[in-house]
Amino acid sequence: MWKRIAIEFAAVGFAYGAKEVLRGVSFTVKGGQFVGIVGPNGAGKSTVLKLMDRLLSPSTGEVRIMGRDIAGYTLSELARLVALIPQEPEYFPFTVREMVRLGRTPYRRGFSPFSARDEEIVEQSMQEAGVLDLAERPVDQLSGGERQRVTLARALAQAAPILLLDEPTNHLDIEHQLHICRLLERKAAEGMTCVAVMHDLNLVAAYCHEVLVLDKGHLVAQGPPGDVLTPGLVQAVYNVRIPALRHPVTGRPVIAP
Amino acid sequence: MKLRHILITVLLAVLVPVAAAAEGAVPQRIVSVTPSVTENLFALGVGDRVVGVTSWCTYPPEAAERAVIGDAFNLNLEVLLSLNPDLVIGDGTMVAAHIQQLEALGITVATINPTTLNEVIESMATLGELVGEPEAGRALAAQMRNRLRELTARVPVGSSKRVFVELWYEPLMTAGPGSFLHELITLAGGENIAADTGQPWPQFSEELVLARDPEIVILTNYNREEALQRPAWQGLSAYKAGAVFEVNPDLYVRGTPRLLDGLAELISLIHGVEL
Amino acid sequence: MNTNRGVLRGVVLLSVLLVSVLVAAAVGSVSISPLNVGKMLLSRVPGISVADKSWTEAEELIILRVRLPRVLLAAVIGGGLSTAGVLFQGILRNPLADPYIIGVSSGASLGAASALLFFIPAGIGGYGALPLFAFAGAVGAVFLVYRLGLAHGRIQATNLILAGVAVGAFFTAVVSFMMVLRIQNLQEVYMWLMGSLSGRGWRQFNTAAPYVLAGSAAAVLFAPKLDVYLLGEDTAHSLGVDVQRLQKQVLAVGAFIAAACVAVSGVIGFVGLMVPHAVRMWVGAKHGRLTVYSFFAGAIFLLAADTLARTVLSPIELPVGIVTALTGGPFFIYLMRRG
Repeated sequence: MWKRIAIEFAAVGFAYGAKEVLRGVSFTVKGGQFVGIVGPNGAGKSTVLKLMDRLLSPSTGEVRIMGRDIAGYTLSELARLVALIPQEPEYFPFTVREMVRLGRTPYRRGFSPFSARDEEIVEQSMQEAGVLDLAERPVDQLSGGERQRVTLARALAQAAPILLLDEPTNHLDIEHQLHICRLLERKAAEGMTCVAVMHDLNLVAAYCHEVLVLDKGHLVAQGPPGDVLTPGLVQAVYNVRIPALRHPVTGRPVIAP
Repeated sequence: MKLRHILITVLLAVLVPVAAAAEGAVPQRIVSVTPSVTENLFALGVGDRVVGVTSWCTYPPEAAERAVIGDAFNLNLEVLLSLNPDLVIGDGTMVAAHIQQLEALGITVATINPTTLNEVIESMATLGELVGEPEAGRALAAQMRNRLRELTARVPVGSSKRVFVELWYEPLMTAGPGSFLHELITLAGGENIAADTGQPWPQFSEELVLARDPEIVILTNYNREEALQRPAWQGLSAYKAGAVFEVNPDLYVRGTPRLLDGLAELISLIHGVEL
Repeated sequence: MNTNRGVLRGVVLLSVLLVSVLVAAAVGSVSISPLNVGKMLLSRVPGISVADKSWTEAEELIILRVRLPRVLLAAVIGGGLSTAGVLFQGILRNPLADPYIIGVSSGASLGAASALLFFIPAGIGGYGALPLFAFAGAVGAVFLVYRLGLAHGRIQATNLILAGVAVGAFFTAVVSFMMVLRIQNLQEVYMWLMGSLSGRGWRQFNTAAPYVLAGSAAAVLFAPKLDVYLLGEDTAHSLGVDVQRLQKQVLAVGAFIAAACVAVSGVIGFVGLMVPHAVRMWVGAKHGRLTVYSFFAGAIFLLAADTLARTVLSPIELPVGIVTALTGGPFFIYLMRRG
């Protein structure tokens, strides 16, 4: 497991027109970590994620991927480094396999046929995400949870060292939520850097190595969940009082009223 | 008018030798793309050489027996070609695209486009030349001139009446300067209340009809029953005098000898003169 | 859909198209024996000489100079409009998009109406320049819609569609206004607006076909990127697709094909809207197959529609736009009940 710095934000600011969304945000994410980005609505979490994939460019400061300014990569190079699962992916009448295959796009040119290696990776990704048995089904006939896993499989097929997810557990029941979190934990252990914007503080507390807390465009805390998700911080950021609870087995914080 | 006379003569001087040289003979298989041309061809006595007509060619009755080639806007090229014509004649409504197509296929196309009564009369001579009957053409033209003279002599002097002619009701459309109807009304000693519209087929305001109070209303759509029921029009002088008349539009919109029949009818309707 | 079945369907489609062309050439207002039609066509193939020419010169004229170009033009335009429809439905991610949605038809109508009502009567450009006017109008309208549809320098599908509707409504109103001013040339404009292949021959074919075919071929090249694009703009970006550039290119090519079609045939509706749908239901949404097969299917469809248009009320010819519109209603009802 390498400990290189995968993502670095150096005094990044972002303004949308006249509106300032992020101010002076600096942090580093090491390779092989599962990082959760949390914060109240409008804190700028999605903006941070989009900056990590160059969907947006910083107004001030620099975003670095693998030590290089993100602006210096070509779109193709970036696609092999960063995979993104946005919040509301759209579906069209593709089968599961067809959709996962699209994840191999950064490695293919136009109409070139799929190599054996490509097919292997596609199979493996579907297996890991738990959708192999759905391979020939049309995606629009699947349930929400199944679709989410298909998108995950697609992102895994991209075989990028950095995986970004925007609210991956929304609208899912607890079985699927835990499935995804465990998968991300596993991939991180294998060396993939996973950064997820999450609303559910408990999932973040239970599974993430590091938490980035954003509030009104500022980075207010960074560190392991145990250090960061204290009642004091939760009150300051979310304006709610919670008792100090700990998970009896793992010792990680539990956020409950 | 004089200039036009010269132009037509010049055109003839060019057309006739060219046509004769190209054809080497008089056109024997003629297709007409306009009802007025059809009528005129029959009037010239060459009806038996007409092999194709439009779906609108209703006069004379024999014309309706010829093969139908569509109309000026929807020309069925296949049928037209299968008739093996050596001359196609149309008027200004003929679509430029069709003319181009026909000429590209090696067919002689002529267009005759008279817009005034005098031009119609002169076009008889032109038509006669085109089909190889110059004498008949000139004779027909002379005949029409005579009749025109006789008719205009019958118009009582100094008794003009305000006339409104309706082409369509919704929207209200009338005939203005540039149309045969307008010219005939004027020749017949009437005053077209739409004379200031400056266009041959303008849309007209119903208010203006009421304001200008025509003494004669001429309908060209066989809609007299409906027209007589219009509440706002009841106060018109024409309605009070019972001077609302339906006419056969073919006599007034086609550039044919029947225009003079239309003129006669108008004189009779406007002035109550028996002709 | 596995590859073999997909390819087979493509072969079937192409065969049906070729047969349709031959059948359409043999059918018309004037009945000419199919055998003679076949012989006439063969005699034009260099190197083949046909003995025993048992047809008249008029018949040869009809087949080779009137019917054949029209049939081929119908096929090319049907194919082009369908391909453009695929492109627009893909790039706007809207299954109700048709090739005219961003101003092509209203712009072309304005160009053609201006030419027919003002320029040509005034002596500016002959009748042969009509397609150029229409094309210029289409391109101008698309450009205007594109500028209006930009938000912060980026293309937004909704904005684009709204701008297309606005510009379309405005241009259509201008055309109506012009028609009131110049009421004597009304019929010519109506004829053009209704969409018709009547009177179109080799001249129109030679004008439009190269561009339509070139554009349609280019459309196929967009296929892999369009598949990715369907997943969403952010996802496509993350997979390495330059979304802004793809949008500009696809819109440009789509508008180009549609403008070339409209320039010679007027506005023929429903082809670009329905054919991609039908083909998608048959072979799936992957754009490689979708673009190619939509071209073939669209060609067959418009060919059939035009053949009907010129035979069902012979010698009167219906504008082909009416025939395609008549099929539109039942088709969408069918879609609704199915989905």
